[in-house]
Amino acid sequence: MKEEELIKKLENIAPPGIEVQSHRRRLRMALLDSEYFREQPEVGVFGQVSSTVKRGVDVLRGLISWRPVWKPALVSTLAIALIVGSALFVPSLVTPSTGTLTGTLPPGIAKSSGEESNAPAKPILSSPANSSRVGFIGKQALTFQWTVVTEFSGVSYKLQITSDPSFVNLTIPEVSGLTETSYTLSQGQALPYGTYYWRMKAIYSAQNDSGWTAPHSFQVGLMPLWTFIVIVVVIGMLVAALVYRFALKR
Amino acid sequence: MDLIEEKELVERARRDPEVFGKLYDQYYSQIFNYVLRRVANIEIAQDITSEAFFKALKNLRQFHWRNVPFSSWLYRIATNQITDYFRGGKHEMFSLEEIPDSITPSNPSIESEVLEAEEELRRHEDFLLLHENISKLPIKYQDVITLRFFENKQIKEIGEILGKREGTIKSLLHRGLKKLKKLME
Repeated sequence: MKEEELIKKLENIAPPGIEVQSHRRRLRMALLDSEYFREQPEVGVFGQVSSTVKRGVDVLRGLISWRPVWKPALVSTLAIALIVGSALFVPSLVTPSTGTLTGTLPPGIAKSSGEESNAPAKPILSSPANSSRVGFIGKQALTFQWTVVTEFSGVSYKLQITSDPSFVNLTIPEVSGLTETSYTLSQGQALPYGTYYWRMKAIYSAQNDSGWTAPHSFQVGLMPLWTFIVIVVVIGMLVAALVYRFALKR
Repeated sequence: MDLIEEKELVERARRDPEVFGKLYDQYYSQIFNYVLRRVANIEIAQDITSEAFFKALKNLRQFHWRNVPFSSWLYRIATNQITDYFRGGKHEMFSLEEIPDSITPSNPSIESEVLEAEEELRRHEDFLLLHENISKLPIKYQDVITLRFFENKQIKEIGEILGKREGTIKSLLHRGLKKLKKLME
């Protein structure tokens, strides 16, 4: 059989077009009645503002109908609305974005072996850079940054940080569900002196992932805290000795 | 439905079950038949379609509009579910057994409807013969051949569905057809 004949055969074949109405109806019912629609948070600032305004209007209506105290009630409601409005708007206006959009990768660009790879694009690790040193002494609450991966199905990220190059034992529990392109460790997660490795994975909402990036290593601090204390004590003793000797000479 | 209309519908579907219902009505048949053409089994196709739509609903908030039809996203989820099934991966089964269905003279029982559908599938002998050969190919070739010839998707759209470049799709298609030809000789 020639390839053209096979193509013709494939083009001319009538694939089944079947409907199972009972499945269609029951699945529809199950989807529309699912938990997803029962536990809906208000989405975004506008959602929150609109629900706040709705609640405010309801309160105002109730207060206006209660004539003896409607004026003070109106004033206090407006004051509360002003405070709530400020609380909702101001942080979103003044808080800088934590994301660093240093580049856009089309899907699949990070593949290494062309068509054999099924994995979508991987993020690129930006900071801390590979083989870099961060901080001087004490624990460091670092910020990890990577490039955004653009994909129509939506992307979240997973982050692993460890002092174990094989990533078997993680220093910090795996961080998942990240939607920004940076993550700052909390004070409780701050890393003490040592050599660490980090890597990322992009998770696509269509349920596949990019696979882990090659790990980057970095060094936290120049020396352990105890070394620093010993050095300070030694320097102090030297200075004291010099002062003592100078004082004795006089 | 054009892309602008669809974009608006997807945005509203995140909060409104009725709007999600509209999207479901629009694409159920397409996705169910795609899965059926991949697995050639009514009950398995029902299970995989259910899983795919539940996954789509679960991840709807993460879906970012990039001028790619919503159906491409659904196709991708379904393709991943099919791959999982072929590889014997872990399945989250969504049982619809507890969902009642009204049975009237014009609305046959679930079992008899499934039997009828299986009968209808068996009547597509040419397709089933071809499917038997296609199913012997590695999954990546099955993906592109089914999408190209049974779903009539263009190379660009297949690339969007599978997250691959057009050149890669062309090459997969070429190699897949070569392998299929060999199997059919």
